[in-house]
Amino acid sequence: MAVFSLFQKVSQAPTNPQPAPPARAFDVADLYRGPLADGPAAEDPAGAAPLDEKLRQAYFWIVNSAIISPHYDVEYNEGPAGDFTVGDTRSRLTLPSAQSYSSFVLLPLLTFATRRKCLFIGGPGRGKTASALLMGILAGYPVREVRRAMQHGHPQMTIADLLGNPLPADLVGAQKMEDIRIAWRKWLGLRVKIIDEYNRIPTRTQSALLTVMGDGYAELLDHIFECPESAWYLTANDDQGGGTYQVIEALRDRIDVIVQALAFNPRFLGDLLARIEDDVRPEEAVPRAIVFTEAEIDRLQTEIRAVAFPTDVRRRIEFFASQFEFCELGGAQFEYKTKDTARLAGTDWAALSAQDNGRDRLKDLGCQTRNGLSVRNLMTLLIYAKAMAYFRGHRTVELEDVRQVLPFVLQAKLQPDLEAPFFDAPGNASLRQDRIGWLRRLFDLACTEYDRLDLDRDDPAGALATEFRRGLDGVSESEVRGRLARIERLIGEWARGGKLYGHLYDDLLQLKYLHQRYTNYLRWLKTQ
Amino acid sequence: MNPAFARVLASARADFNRRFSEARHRYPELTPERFAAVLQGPGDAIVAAAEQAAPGSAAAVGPAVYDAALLLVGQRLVGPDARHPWIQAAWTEVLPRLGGLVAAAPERLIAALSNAAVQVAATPGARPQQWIALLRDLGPTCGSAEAVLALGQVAAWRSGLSHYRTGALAAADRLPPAVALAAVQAPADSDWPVVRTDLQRNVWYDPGARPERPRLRVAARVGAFRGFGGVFVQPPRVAPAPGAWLTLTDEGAWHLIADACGATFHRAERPDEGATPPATVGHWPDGLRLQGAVLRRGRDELDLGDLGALTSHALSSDGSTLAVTGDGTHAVVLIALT
Repeated sequence: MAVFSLFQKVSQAPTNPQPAPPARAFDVADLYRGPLADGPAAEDPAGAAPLDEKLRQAYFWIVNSAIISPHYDVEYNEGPAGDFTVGDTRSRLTLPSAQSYSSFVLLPLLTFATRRKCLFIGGPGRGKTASALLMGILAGYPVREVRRAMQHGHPQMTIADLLGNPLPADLVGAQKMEDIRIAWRKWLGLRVKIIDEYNRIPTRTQSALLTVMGDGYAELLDHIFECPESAWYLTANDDQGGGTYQVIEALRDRIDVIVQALAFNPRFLGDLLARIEDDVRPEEAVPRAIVFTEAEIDRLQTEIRAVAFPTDVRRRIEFFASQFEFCELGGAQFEYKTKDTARLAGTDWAALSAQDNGRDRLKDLGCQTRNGLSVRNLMTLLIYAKAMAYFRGHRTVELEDVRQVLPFVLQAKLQPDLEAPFFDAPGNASLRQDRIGWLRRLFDLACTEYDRLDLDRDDPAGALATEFRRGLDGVSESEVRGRLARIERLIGEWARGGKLYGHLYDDLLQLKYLHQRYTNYLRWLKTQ
Repeated sequence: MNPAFARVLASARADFNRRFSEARHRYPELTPERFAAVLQGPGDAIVAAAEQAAPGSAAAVGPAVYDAALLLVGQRLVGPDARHPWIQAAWTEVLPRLGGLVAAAPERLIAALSNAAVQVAATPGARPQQWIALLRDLGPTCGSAEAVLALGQVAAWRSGLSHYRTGALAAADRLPPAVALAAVQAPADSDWPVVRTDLQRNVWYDPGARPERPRLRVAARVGAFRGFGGVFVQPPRVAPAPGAWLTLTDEGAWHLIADACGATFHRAERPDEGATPPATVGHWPDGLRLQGAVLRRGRDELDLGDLGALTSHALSSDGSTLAVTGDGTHAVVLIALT
């Protein structure tokens, strides 16, 4: 066995260097750090590293040694980035000025850290299954065990194939259901679960899978198996209905992020050749230094949840999310003017959107989608934004963290209206296919509009909500009346303003909520 | 090639060949010729010395030498056209003289001393030849691999890595007193605890020099224009910082750590305005006064005229040294007050 193994080499900390603190201490032991690992005694140089550092070391090991992935599509900048336009269609090529990442490795790793659910999509042979396998190994499972535990979807897959079997002897001899013992499939107990080609699983078996994925337990003949909290990885060659079976909507909705395995760049053929010639299997050479224990993954989750989410960043997500659910002609009562009302009624979308002629359909971001965002989508976005910030070694989420993870969270959730005028605008035609690019543009446009409205400084509905959140204890009747008057005055001003947009609609609903809370409080005050 | 080393290589020929092949894909500059030159030269000498001191040790030392050579030759850190000669020097002058100690801890010593040679060589102003000489001369007198590593740390400090001063003094305590005294160039008949106390107390104390009365003197001029290999693009200013000085230019900030062994600069975050005392000429420390371009303390005087107009000064946290800058030079002048 090699003493200083090439494939065991882990990137040296710090992997994302930050500016040096004002005072620093020097450790003479650092003298012996360098190009050679410090022998077997110190084989684990990352052993004492903070977990975010270990996560980055895992990322860099995967991109440097395991997956030949030259795509850096999660771009960060410090200062101006290099920007070039290439070709007749003036395609933009940017050269990020800060550490940037490959989504195909990063998002699965963030899924691992947060124990969420990630779907790999892309053509065959692009490393989807290999990436999922690596995640299992990072959780400390032997390669063979991860391989055996991987569920391969196929058209004959039964619920028994997926979950387990009742013991045959018990089936014959049992007098009641609880006497039947179940041989549960081993993968159910793993903390990393991999379902290969999930869109080839028959619909009925998908429903059983949904229970395991969504609720964390498996049920067979009235017996329950409680699964541990796990990270999930699913793969599909085509997530747009090209699988053997249509994936049930609820199962698709449980998936938190989707990453696409981008095309292999033939310029890296030499690396592939080396793999063949050297008979290298990266999954069998994962360094111990980047393998996480169960306790470490638990701690990762705790530390990620503790990452701060500044109000100004959260406000921009609120503003973005407000754009999409509102549909002025979707209902008569104010609360029901939503796309979901129209969807539930089975209304023809094209006919509905054709009636909507009052607003600037190019400017209104809500016109670009056929649906709004669910609570689950928003929660996923918040947790992945925190994980992204944590991965970068920060303890506070930045707007760019949100901007980078948002497309991967929402790409299967926010359905574009491809007939919307936006997609006919010059330069936007390719966004019909490129969901990631479209969602990033959508978020940028929302942020631009947020800035134009100067909502960071001038947010009257936000100010009223902040005032309300301070509590009602000791608030006098005259003060409550004053607040009610302010709410009504603000609604009156907005009503005179003309057009109704998504963010205004949500603000109005919030004002109605505040008005109702104050009204109830006023009634209570009168009884005192 | 030493027969024992040849036997080790022959015994796992396929595995060694596979490792070479793997390394060559990662390091295109790893050619068979360069690699063979290192293996048959310094590598062979290390294995032969270890085998001679501890027969049978080639089985462990050989693979350690082989793998280290793969990585170092691949990065052109050792070999005929290495980027600098100091790892090669460690392999030819130091490691073969540590035969029995290398036999006991081959990976550890080969990796640690190679890494240290890279660090010493990469530190501007350091004297890697002094580090090699100290280890070459004193290494064989160490009784264990731990002692060799402690000696390497002391030697690094004495060779100019002044930022390791505190840790190196602690490492010297783990050496036999005679080795510690020799490592700091103190007379052999000195008393180590006394020498250590003086070293601890006075950053400008040189155990090898004849004692002198304390006087105002320029102990060092450190830093230079970037075009001449320094770190500054414009004359710097200094401000006090814990355990060091902060040197500032419009472009950035660096910690400066200096003592009798050398001075090192370390990139620092530029402090916010007001976070540190202003880097300007103001109140001089007690007993010092500036008359024209001459700094006076009692009857001692020091002409600072070659600095141009003085732009800043700052006293070290232990009060032993005054750092002064002027607009006529990219250097920081360190004035010993003790």
